[in-house]
Amino acid sequence: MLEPQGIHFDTDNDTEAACRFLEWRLREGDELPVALQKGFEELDGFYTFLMGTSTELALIRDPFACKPAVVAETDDYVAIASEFRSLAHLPDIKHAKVFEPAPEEMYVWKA
Amino acid sequence: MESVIFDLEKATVREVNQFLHGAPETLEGRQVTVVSPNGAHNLAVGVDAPVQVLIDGHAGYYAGGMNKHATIIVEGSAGTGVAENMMSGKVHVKGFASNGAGASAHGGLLVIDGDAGLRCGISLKGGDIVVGGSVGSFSAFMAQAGRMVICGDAGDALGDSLYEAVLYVRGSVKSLGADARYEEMTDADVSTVRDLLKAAGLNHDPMSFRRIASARTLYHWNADANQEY
Repeated sequence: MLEPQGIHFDTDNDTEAACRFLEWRLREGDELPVALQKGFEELDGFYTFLMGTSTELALIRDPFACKPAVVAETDDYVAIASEFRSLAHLPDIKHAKVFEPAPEEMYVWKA
Repeated sequence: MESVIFDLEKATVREVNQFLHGAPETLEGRQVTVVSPNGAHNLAVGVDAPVQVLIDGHAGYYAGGMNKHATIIVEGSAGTGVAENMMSGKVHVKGFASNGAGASAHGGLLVIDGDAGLRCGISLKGGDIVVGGSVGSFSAFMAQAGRMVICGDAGDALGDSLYEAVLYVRGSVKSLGADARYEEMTDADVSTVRDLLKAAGLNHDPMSFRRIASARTLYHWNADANQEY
């Protein structure tokens, strides 16, 4: 659905398809949550996506949530990784709110 | 008996597990504390002794897997597959648990104070699971034996293709899976839920739970179904 619109791919990687899809929706003027909602409707597969624009950071997981993700949030930062091990040595991690993002839900942080 | 402390900033997971795989008579009644677990995988797997293990923080994948006899407490959250294939004993997660908690547990009790992720209790084979919060989609998929008490809500396809495991849910269920159905709570069910809640240290009215079990329509091949279930 993207190549007929002149969208060029550099790889055969399915992650690129998702990136190009969301990039295309943003370029067409969708707000980030709208683009992500269209992603939920169009993309068929297992994924956890972390996306940044100049003002927003978004995290989503597919309905089966096979791909891991964990979030640590403090007043100073939000940190996202595939498992807690990678977050374990962040400053003040002991007081961070640590949670696992739910499937098919949008987590959007604004700068 | 004296408590043994492993600090995972210095010790390795292998050192912890090798200690926990020592002769059962040397471990019996002992308290082993793991500090700074930092989300390490495979903590306290394959323990086969009545020892108490305290994981003082967040655990990674498969914490307490294959547990036999031990009481394993995770002060924080647990990653994928906590207490998977547990045989007996108890695993208590005070935070949340990720996907596949208690998968194919044959015995023992898994308590999760917070929420559990997807596929909690998948292929349960006789263990008991009590979740203080909610469970994700596809929980208790193909669960064969054992009991699961869910104090919060459940996601999609709860109890899909259930065998003889029985589920008790207090909150809302997004959808039941194929062949799972609500059934009347009998006096025996109420007392089962009361006992499991008590063992988990949770305080809810057992009468506020609904029973879900297999309708057993998938037990025999139905050629007329044309693969539509």
